[in-house]
Amino acid sequence: MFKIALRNIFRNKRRSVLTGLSIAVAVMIAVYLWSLISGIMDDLFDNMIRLNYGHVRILNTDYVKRERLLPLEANIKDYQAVARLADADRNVTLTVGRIKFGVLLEYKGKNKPVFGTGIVPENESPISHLDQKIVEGRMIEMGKEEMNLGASLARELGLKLGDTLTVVTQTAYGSITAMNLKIVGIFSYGVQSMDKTTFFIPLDRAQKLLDLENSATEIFIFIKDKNKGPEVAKEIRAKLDLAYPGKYMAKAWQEQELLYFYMVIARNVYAGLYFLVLFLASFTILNTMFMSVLERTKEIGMMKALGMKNRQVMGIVMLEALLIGTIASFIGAIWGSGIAYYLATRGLDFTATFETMGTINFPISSVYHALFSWGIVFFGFCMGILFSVAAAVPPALRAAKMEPTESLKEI
Amino acid sequence: MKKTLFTLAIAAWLAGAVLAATGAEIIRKVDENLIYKSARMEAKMIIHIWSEVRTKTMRTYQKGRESSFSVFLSPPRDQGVKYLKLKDNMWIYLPDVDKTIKIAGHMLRQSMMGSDLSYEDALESGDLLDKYTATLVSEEVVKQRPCFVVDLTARVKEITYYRRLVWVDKELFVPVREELFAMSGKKLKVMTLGNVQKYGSRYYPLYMSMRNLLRQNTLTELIITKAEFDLSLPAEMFTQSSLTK
Repeated sequence: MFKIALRNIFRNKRRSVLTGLSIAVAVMIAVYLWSLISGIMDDLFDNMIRLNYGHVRILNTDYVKRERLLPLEANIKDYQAVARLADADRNVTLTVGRIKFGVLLEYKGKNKPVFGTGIVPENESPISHLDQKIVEGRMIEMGKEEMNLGASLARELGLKLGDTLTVVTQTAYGSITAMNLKIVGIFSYGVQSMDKTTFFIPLDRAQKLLDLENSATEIFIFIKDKNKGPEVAKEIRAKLDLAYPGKYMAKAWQEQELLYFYMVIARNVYAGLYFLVLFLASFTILNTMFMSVLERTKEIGMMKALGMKNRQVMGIVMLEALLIGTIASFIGAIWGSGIAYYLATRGLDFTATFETMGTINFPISSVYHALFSWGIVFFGFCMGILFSVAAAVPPALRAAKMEPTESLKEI
Repeated sequence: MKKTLFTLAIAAWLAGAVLAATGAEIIRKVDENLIYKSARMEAKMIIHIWSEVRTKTMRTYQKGRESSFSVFLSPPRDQGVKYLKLKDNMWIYLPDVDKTIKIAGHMLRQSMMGSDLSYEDALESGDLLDKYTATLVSEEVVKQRPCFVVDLTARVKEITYYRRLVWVDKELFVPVREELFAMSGKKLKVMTLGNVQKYGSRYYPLYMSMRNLLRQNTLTELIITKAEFDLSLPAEMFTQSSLTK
């Protein structure tokens, strides 16, 4: 059977090569597309966790309802005492308070709405990796009226290291307030929502500026295993309910509606694309096998007249598809992994495009990197074979159903 | 019969005209009480916000209804913050950054020093009767004082409060309560006034409370601890340069 199948493949080399090529291209596209989308989504989720949500976040229950408005009055009073509740959990590795606030930045007649974040600089490194993202100058220090500014924002406002900027905003109680802040460092995350619209100041300065003594608007929590987010959040919620009934709540990154929405979209879009590509490619194998079966009607009739069983006839056609599918999927997987590796190491740079676009409110990187994984390559290879074999089922059934007497009549 | 109906209609129209005139007259008498050529006041602003109470003290100088200069004396956080109002313009001086900021655009609707008053409230100048049609709608007793209830409906479109209901003490011609409404009819703020003192032949309330109904659980009280009227104030006090002095 194997010999017959092999002979059939080589009987019409051009057709077999074209079929194989379409499968190989489909597998290649599926592999690098999956790698690229996985890379983009992993990067987006990682940025969201590091910059927006942490693994778990403690928030004032009122703040949760109006988070988009950054309501400073819905803060966490004596946040260190609240953070200690979470610290006691064995899964928690780090808790840190933050204050996010909105500011209309004015410099030399230019106005721009931006977001300030008050942070504890020494605790930021394991969370937002700010220390690694400083491209000029140094990180801010507690107790000093200094800021780290996004590179794109600095460029847009014509600001440089050493300049002093007056930040004018409203306190948590609604009074107008201002602070002169010296730019001691410029950061670049390669994420436009950060580089274009954000600055960091020390938490104690943010507390002074916003009249939020000992308070924070959120407590970021990092845990040992991020997959246990909902479990840890539940435990912390129970403690919070006991100590501060109804006042504060803990939310895991998996429980963030926006993040969940992106996850669902990404999963569905990718699955749709992946199977569409393979489905289209499988049509070529369906067509090839039908042609092959029709061409060999007389031969199949002869074989059946000589005693070959339906199952065996079907097996030959399926084996032929399996052989083409395996070789083509292997080649496609190699090509796909090559492109995926290139995209993982070099990336696709969209910085110039993002610079010209308006502000994007979710932290997607300007350089898209693929996620190279042998698992993705192997899965693509297997799916290529599966689709090839599945597409050969209808022609194989047709071959098996042929009546020897009828088939032999065909010339 | 027709004659009777006609007479009644004329009478009703005349009654309305008389009430409208009375409404305007009441507001004019209120203004005569409250608007001085100049004034110097020291006041305590008590802001009840959520479960907190924040007290600020200030000194204010006023020239008519259109110019005022205020400086905050306490708490330390607000010490030295100055406000200057000249007709429809307002500036704030922030000593921490040694900067004067003009309050304009969206900032005007924001709360002043965290209170229930907005900058727009503070900026209100000119004669109310230029912008509103005053109608006496009823008479009620508020805090054991018989009052006129005057409805002020805006004649202009660009106005902070489209409608106001003012309860005016019938005897002293001082407002005791005021409700402020948006064009949609939504009640935005409620103000009460009290502790009316006599200065010469006029009356002035030394207590005011304002509740912004768009904020939750807040109330601002303004208690005037010292008031002097019709004194001479230097003209340079009402200039931008006085903010940085």
